[in-house]
Amino acid sequence: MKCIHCQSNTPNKLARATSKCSACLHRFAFTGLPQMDFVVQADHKGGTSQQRPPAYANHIAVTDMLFQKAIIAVGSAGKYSFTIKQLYYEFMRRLPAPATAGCGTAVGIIALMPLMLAMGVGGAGGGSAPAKVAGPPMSFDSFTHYYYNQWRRIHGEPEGLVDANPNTATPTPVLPELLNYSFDRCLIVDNADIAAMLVANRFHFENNCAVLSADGAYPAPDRRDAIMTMLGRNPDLVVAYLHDASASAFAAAATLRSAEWFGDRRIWIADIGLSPRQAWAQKLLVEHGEKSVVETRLPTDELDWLNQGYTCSLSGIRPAKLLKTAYMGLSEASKATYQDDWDSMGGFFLMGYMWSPTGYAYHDAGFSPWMGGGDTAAFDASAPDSFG
Amino acid sequence: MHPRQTALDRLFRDAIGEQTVYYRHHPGKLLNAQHPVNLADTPRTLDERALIDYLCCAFVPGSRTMFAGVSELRPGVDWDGLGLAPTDAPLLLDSNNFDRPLDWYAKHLKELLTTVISEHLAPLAGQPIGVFLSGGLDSSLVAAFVKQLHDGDVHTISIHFGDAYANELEWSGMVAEHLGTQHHVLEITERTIHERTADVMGMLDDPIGDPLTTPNLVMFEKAASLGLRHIFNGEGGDPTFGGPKNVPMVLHQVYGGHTDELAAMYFRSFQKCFDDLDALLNPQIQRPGVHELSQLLHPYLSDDSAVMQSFLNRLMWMNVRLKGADQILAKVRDIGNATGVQAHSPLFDKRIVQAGFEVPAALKLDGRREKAVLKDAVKGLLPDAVIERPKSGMMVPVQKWFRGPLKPWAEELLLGKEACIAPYIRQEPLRAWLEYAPMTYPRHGVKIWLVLALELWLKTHGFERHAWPQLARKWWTFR
Repeated sequence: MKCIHCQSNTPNKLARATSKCSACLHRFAFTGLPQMDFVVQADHKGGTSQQRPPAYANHIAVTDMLFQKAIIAVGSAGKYSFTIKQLYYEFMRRLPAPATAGCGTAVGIIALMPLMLAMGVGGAGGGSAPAKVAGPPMSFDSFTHYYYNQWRRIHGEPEGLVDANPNTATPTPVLPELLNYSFDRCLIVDNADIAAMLVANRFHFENNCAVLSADGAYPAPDRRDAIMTMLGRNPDLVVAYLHDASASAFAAAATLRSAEWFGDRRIWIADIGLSPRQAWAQKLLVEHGEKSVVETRLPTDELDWLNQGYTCSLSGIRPAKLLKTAYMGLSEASKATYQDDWDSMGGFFLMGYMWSPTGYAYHDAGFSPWMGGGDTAAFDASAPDSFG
Repeated sequence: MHPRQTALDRLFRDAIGEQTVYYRHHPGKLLNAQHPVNLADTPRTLDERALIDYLCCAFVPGSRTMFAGVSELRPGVDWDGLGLAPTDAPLLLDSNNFDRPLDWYAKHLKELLTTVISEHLAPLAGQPIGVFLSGGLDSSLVAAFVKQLHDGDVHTISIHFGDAYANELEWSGMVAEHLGTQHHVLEITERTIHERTADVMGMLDDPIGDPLTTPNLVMFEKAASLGLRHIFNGEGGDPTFGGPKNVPMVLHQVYGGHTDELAAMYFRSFQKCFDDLDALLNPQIQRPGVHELSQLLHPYLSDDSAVMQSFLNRLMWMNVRLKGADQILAKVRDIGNATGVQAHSPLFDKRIVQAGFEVPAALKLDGRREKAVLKDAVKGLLPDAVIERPKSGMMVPVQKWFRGPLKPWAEELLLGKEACIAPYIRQEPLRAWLEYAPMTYPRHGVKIWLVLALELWLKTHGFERHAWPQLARKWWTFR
């Protein structure tokens, strides 16, 4: 077993007996043995169930090196801050997928049948729904309880981890004089921890952009009120909505049209969120939750997939890629010229799909920051210095 | 101007920094000159801290210069040569003017602009005058005042970068037509950049890594070829009247950013190489700590006079003092001197800057309507469309140029055996930029330009590396 401090190898038996590196005596957080008496696994009904691992068949040999590699990968070697959820998904990517045998698989296949048929008929291109949905190898709760907490006990909190409750850590009040200012752009993110992660990585600073969570949890209420006041001063505000591929995220989009956000101002909101097709194309980890009924103008196969209760979280994407995608989406949204006719949905070309008070429009040939191949170099940005 | 080699009574520099004074301590005396190369025996040793500041800001801010041991007197400073030179001189404001309505400020500013520009024009009566016109608010309003107050021909000069790139010609054309000036449009191509950048770097006292330096040279030369001896520009409107450069710093404050980080965020706001320093610099070069970084901003952040209680005013004061004096004014002054055309930047006149600071924050910026007072002051002089158009910086297409036609040139200069930057800057990050390796925000072009400008500046200022003396030294040590 390799030590993360001195890189020397300790024989597995010795490491398991002493939990220490034989060379530098630093403690191991993991020794390749199960961290729990019972493996807690996510069941496909959204909850967790405890089951004894069948003779280590599904056992995951976690070592300190494996966990450290996940930390290094998710933060691009210390370059970016990340959330604990992003670390969880990174860790999941490094574990073997759970076996999809027995009853669950049968249900899965049956559930996917109409979807696959719909795809065959619809054929919108750009990826197809995964044939099997295995779900994550362990639940988020198991991860924090058995792995993350153990790591923190032995090696301390990973550097770059975004504060789980960022609102308490920033007591400096907003200066009243700044309320006269406004910003060019606003990014609304459907969950607070991704919004906090973007701010921790200075997305707001680099893009001249306010970042808010759709649920109102980030930033703290007084700061949020100040930002909304400032945003209210810009009649030409560019707004983009970044979200998971989930029925609830698509449903939450409608709330952004409520009076508490932009009142009766005619502000277009560019949807730069993750669509099911984009999630499939990137082979992101899919989870399964409650079935729902969401009405959007997505193609039928994607809509069906969402309504089956399948979800794909933005947290499954590393900060580096998420920052780049949000940047590209916002740049496109800023360049877009919208039709004067507010109620008409025709003619949109932006980012795959857009929404308005009347619903979604989907335009398959449009630009999508997720499908753009990540080549930001194609965007032309040079010194925005003027000569007066 | 020849250096003074005797002990001095006083050194003095103008309030905003249109002119420069460089000085160097020499046993028993203080030498001073208008250009650092004019100081006797100026050693060609690079100030490593100035190099770091340059990589962060694209100019050398504060009293440091690229020449180790040579300092620049800060604007407005009056120094007797004893002890350390003061780091800043306060701005004198009239507190009676702190709380007036918008109309009053607009009227006051209009009167001031008329006075200031008339004073600049008085000795030039009858001569043809040029105005550099970008099509933005600042240069357009200067053009409007010059046209109104001058009794000779007025020429306006605008640039673009070829049909493939977005330009502002529509706006500058509209202003020129409205004012009835003789309008000239210059095309700046990658060929111009390739041929003229070394020339412009040779003219600058300290390197400036803003890609507009070469287009500026072409504009000055055009003015000279038209027989113009004086040009006016709109430089100064942004730092004095609250342009868009402050928004990232405001966002930092609004999101609860720590005051300790303010210096780092200020350096970051230039969007150059602050976060690349570790990768970029050779390991033997010492990186400044947070405390050292803050030293540069200390005079502005610790100024607790009434007007500087405002966060916005502090930001603007930093911009006027650092970017204004060390980049904008330095650039037009040095290129102007070299081409024999005197540059006038009326918006950087002491009285206009003072008026800008007397305006309360609420009136400087009304939502996204930036420079509200300035806009109201020029109502009627310019078409409304020009006054109310959103700010858009002049974009030099370096991101595309270095990917295509200028790549071999940049590679040869930066990765070649005789690169002057080689003792300080590692090649791997440069190679990655030149290969356009993925970057979160696509800033390859500006970063390559920053280092390339530095390389050309070093080459043209006697910092060349000669392989032979180094080999000789090695051989000597070995022996």
